[in-house]
Amino acid sequence: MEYFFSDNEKRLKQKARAIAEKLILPIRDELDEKARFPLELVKEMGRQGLLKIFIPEEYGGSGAKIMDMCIACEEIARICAGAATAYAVGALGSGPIVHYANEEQRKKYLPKIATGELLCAFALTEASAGSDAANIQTTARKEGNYYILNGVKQFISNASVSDVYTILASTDKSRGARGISAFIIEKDMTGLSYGKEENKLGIRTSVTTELVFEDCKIPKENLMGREGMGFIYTMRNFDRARPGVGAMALGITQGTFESVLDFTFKNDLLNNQYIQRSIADMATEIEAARALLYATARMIDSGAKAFSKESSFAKLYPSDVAMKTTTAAIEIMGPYGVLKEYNIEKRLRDAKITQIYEGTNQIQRAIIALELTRKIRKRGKG
Amino acid sequence: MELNQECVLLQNELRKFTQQVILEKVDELDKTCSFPSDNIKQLAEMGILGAMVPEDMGGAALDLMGLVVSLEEIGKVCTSTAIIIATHNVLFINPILKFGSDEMKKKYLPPAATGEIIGGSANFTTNEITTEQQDENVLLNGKNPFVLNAEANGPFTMFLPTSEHKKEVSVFIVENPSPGVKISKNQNIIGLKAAGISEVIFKNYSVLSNTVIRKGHEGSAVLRETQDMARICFAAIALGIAQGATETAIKYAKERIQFNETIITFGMIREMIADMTTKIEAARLLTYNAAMKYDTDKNYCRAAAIAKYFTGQAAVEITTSAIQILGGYGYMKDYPVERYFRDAQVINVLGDLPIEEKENIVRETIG
Repeated sequence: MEYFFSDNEKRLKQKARAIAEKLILPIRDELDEKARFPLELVKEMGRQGLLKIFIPEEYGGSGAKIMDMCIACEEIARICAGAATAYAVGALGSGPIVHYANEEQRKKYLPKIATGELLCAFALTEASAGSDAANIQTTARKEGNYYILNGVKQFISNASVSDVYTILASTDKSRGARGISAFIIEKDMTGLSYGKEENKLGIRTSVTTELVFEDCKIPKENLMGREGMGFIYTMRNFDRARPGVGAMALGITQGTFESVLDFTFKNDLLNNQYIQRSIADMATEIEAARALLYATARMIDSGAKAFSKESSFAKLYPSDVAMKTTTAAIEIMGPYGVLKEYNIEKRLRDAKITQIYEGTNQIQRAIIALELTRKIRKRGKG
Repeated sequence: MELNQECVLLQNELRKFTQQVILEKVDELDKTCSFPSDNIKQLAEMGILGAMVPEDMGGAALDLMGLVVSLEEIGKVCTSTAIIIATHNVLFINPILKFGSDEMKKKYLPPAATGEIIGGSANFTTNEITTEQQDENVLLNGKNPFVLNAEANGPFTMFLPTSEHKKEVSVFIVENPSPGVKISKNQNIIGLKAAGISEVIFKNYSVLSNTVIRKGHEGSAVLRETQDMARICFAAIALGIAQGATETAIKYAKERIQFNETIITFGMIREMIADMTTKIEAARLLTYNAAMKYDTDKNYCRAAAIAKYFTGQAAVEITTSAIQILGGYGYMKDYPVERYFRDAQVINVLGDLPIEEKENIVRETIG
């Protein structure tokens, strides 16, 4: 299908594809097997200009366009969704600084994030606050010119390799979600350490770790925006980041589809109508997912004010398609599909996370339903 | 469907054994890809390694339903152990028991029934093998990346089509270990990591005529019966996986609190559990129905294909949902659902693939 990419977008797509095929493909299996974070790779992506696409031009970036993020994430995930996660955390981590930090904070961090000199991450989830994100127990107590942080953040992507974090903590428990504030934390601040490193089904090259705060004392200047706004910043940040997950899911699906097509051709299966039905469905759903994703990205980039629902569409559908396609691919390839050599089983393992992280697909449906019911309720029963 | 008294006793005995003995070892076996020799030894003492072998040859003389109930219980806890037992009983022992010469029976069945040898079988859809007639014997060259139980270093059966559409098939036993047979354990597989599934490379391996069970059209009949029994047994294991994953998901959902409530109270979770439970119930009825047809000498081909197709798919869908219910925790190796999910993927593609099962169902249905 023709999606009318601009020249810049075409160049970005080519660049991301070249990085994925030349730099990631040769080490993909090893990264998965050893669950090793590809630090040198992410740094190289920075040098080649893939990280600056998350950052506005005035801070050394190239525009912070959702469409650019989608293009890059799709191309990298087409080869390895673990590497794509390691990469895309840069968007989730920098988003709050781009949109909600003050000028001084932006100037301090964003130019270095754009080049990859500083890696950033986003820390919200806790043991008791998964889908119920407002239920975080980490506290930030104000003492003079400082905040003192205590608590444990769980399942934090890139936690142990990042330099800068946006973290959410409660500054006023009595106010619930409205008592949550966002802070910028640097890795060498006293009282911050890394806890358990998770052993995951997929995206194994992306490292997932606990962040532990024990009387972590930070200057009050590290508060982002206003106290009590943290949860709103978080939800808006997710609204902008979710298409990135959709794009990764799409990349997994695209890579899977190409492998299946190749396998069925080589094994002379393309005359079989069961196979024809299956690959026709795959191709149709990939294109539907891509069209939905790009439409959402264009909508956000054009300056839309409210796009929670559309952003949820753009994560929900491509991730469900990714699971469906990778599952169907294994059924077509059979024993060869479950063996590592064909890189389908890894894609299946990787695909499952896209239905879970940045809000499970149940949460996406709840967001969509909420937006729909809000609209109809406003209209009233007439 | 009511199980008979004998099956209920067996079920209880295995449930106790798997919970008390196997459960605590499962994660380690999966992580280290270790063949569960201890489990197998203890199951041998319970008679499960010669489940359907007559008593005079050292077996337990169960009917297929007995084996099915056993596999379901073992599969619920350790799929790898279950697949080893199923392979040994159905893909190795049964062709010899039903179609082998007296000499073969004497040689293989008593030690197999007691677990002294663990028999294997080469997955018949992954033969990449050339054959060459040399005097009396046939020379094999090539490989099969998917030989079940090969790591146990025992003999294994092969089903090699010798004409189009599996109309003629050579069924024989490969002696192992022996010259010309090289086994390398396949650790690069998504699931069933402890089952010892291996790649076998043949280099001028000579199939001796006294190891040939049947060939030609008779061999084709052996393959058909073997496959049908395997379908029912793989369905039983897939059923065990689905049951285990669902129990884990329900337990988690009843304990996990989000939004000040246990997540089992949420409609989207309840809907998933309703679907999972319905599929399990249907899968169990189909699987038991196929086993009962086999045991009562009714035509069981169609029932076997339906049971395998439905239950294999159900296990994949149900384990995917189970991970979803556990969310981030489901994706981590601290909980068993990701293992169930990986194991279900392999079970679903053993023997005939799902699209071939659909074709089998159509053929058996339209006549």
